[in-house]
Amino acid sequence: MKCETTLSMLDDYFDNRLTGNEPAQVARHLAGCPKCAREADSLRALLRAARELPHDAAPSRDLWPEVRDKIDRGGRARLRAWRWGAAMAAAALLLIAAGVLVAREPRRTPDQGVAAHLPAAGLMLEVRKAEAEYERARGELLAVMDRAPGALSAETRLVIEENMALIDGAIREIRSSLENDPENVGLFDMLVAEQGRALRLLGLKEALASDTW
Amino acid sequence: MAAFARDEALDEASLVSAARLGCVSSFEGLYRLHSGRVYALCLRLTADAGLAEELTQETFVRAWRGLKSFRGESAFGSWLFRVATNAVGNRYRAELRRAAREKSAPAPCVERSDPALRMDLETAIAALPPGARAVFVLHDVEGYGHAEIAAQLGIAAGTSKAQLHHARRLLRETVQL
Amino acid sequence: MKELLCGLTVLTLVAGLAPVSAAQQALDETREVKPGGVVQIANVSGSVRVVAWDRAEVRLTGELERNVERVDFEVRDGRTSIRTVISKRAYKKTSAFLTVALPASSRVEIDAVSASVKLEDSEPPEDREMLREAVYVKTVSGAIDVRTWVGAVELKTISGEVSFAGLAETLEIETTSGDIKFAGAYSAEANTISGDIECSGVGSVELRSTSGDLTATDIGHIAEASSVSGDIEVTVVSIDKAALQTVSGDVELQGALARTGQIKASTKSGDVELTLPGDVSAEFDFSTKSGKIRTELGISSSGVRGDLHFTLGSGDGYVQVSTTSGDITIEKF
Repeated sequence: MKCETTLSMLDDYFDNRLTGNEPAQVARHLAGCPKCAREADSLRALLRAARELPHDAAPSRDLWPEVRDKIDRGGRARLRAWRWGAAMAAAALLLIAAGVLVAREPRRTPDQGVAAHLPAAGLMLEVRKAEAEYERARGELLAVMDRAPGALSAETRLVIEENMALIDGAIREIRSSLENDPENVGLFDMLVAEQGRALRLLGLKEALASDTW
Repeated sequence: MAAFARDEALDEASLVSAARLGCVSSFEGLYRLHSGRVYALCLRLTADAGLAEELTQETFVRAWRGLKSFRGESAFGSWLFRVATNAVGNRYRAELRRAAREKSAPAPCVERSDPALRMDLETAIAALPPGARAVFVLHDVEGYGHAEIAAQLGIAAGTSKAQLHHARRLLRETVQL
Repeated sequence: MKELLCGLTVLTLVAGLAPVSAAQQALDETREVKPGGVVQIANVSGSVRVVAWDRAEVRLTGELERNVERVDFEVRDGRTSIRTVISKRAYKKTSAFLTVALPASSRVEIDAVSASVKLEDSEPPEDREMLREAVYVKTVSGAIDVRTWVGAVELKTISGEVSFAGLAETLEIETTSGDIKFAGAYSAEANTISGDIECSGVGSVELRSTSGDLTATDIGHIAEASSVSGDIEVTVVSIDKAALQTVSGDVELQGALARTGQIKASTKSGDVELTLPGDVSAEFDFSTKSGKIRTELGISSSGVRGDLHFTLGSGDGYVQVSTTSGDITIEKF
């Protein structure tokens, strides 16, 4: 075996990737060739040093408080968009319910929701704020997301993508309805709810792809 | 609760079980057991202490969220490691793929004959171009196989092997062993 | 004697369940366990079937395809764990068909990818102490079919279909595209993007979807449902609260209004149809921009546009319906 051949096989030799009588041939050449033996020794030493590197290192500070904070906050932040819409709708109903149960008012104002006291311009402002927040959160999620397939099967990826498109369509539908009906608090609640579902689905896709679902 | 988590004799499986049910202090116990290893991995892969700290945190947050799906097929530590590599891979995938395709810049040329100028292994690893560094750390320091590395980093298995060869060559030239 | 008969019956069931074809290995292992523990089962592909018995044992039987290396079956500290381990070479195409018989009071946690999951308790336990505490099932595409009497149930999947029967104290079901069917819960919450939801016999229910149709019959007293484009159809025994909302789907609600109950239904272009008892006592508030209002209650009128307010009886209840262009119809039964 020539030196050139041996040297080119050294990596595989140490990684146990050689087959047949290749390992024996390499070993034989190394036994009789000081130059190649030196190369082999240096590679062997490198691999041993690499394996023996310490597997522990300490960061500059204790990271646990930040991890704990993110765990708590993460839970809340994730739910925030989804629950918000539902919470506003529930709040609207609760106010009505409170009116019913606590003080029997002779007449109740319909649609006594959180946003009901806002003028029409006020609601559209809330809509635009919600959209900006949604775009930002969605952008963040997409930036972090795994572009390689990861652990997701083709069928599952398709299901998720189809459903993302569906939610996007629903959001567009609600949005255009709001243009024609800018005082409709119910529509606003549904918009926020769907935005939350979209974010949740994106998060799900990321978790599936990175095998942490 | 902190003392509870630091008790070395405590069964890790019990910590995992409790953490799965939502017990944060048990998860802290797992953090104490594994954060050193996770940080070491992130530090070697990124050669950037600040980024490594960020990725270590990200790893544990992802692990917390994903705990319910931890199937116990492997040891918790191995699962955590995969989560960590995913986190780093996520951050670097695009960069690494690009770096792997390009001809990486040669490491600082050091005279082999002058031992005083040779770096220690850790420094030399940090000086490697990112693609070669990632493959070397995952293969020769952590023991992953090429197929797995290729999947983690989003490169072809052949590229992984080429990068390893390149990394080993560079390191042998610059490291005082 | 009864225990023996019960055990024999289950054994027969268990023996008959394992499929025969395409199998390379057969399994049959039993471990002793303390009742009331947790049993975790993880299987990627194939099926998982769980049955309950009153023995203090967990029995695992099944057939494994080639490339299933083994099924780890361990009991430690009150936790039984069963997981299939697949050779890395053949990750996706390898199935394990597992049947697990376990104590009726065990908490069950099942994790699958494409494996279908079936948990079937044929009858409720006689002793409340024996009631299962919880069942958690998660799959990616595997169908989920659970029938049991249990405290908490959580069934999650992306594209699998989900069905639940029996009785749960709290039930939570989540899919992305899978259809959902369930019956028997004190309180239930079901969430899907494009799947349809069909449920009955629930005390208080919350259904959400983006495009799926939502049908809830025989609901006790609270129903909340929202879908952007799907239709909603709900029947409630005695309405304390019904909140139904769509953008373009139709809404149908039927039921008796509790004395201080409230109904709120709103759509944009969907039609709303309410059927209430003739002697309902409530304040009514209807509004539509361009739809038509037709009502058999109160002021018998048809073809009204715009807003309509009136009160019937002592007006303790509250009914509000609003659409943009959908029609509003109120009928009495």
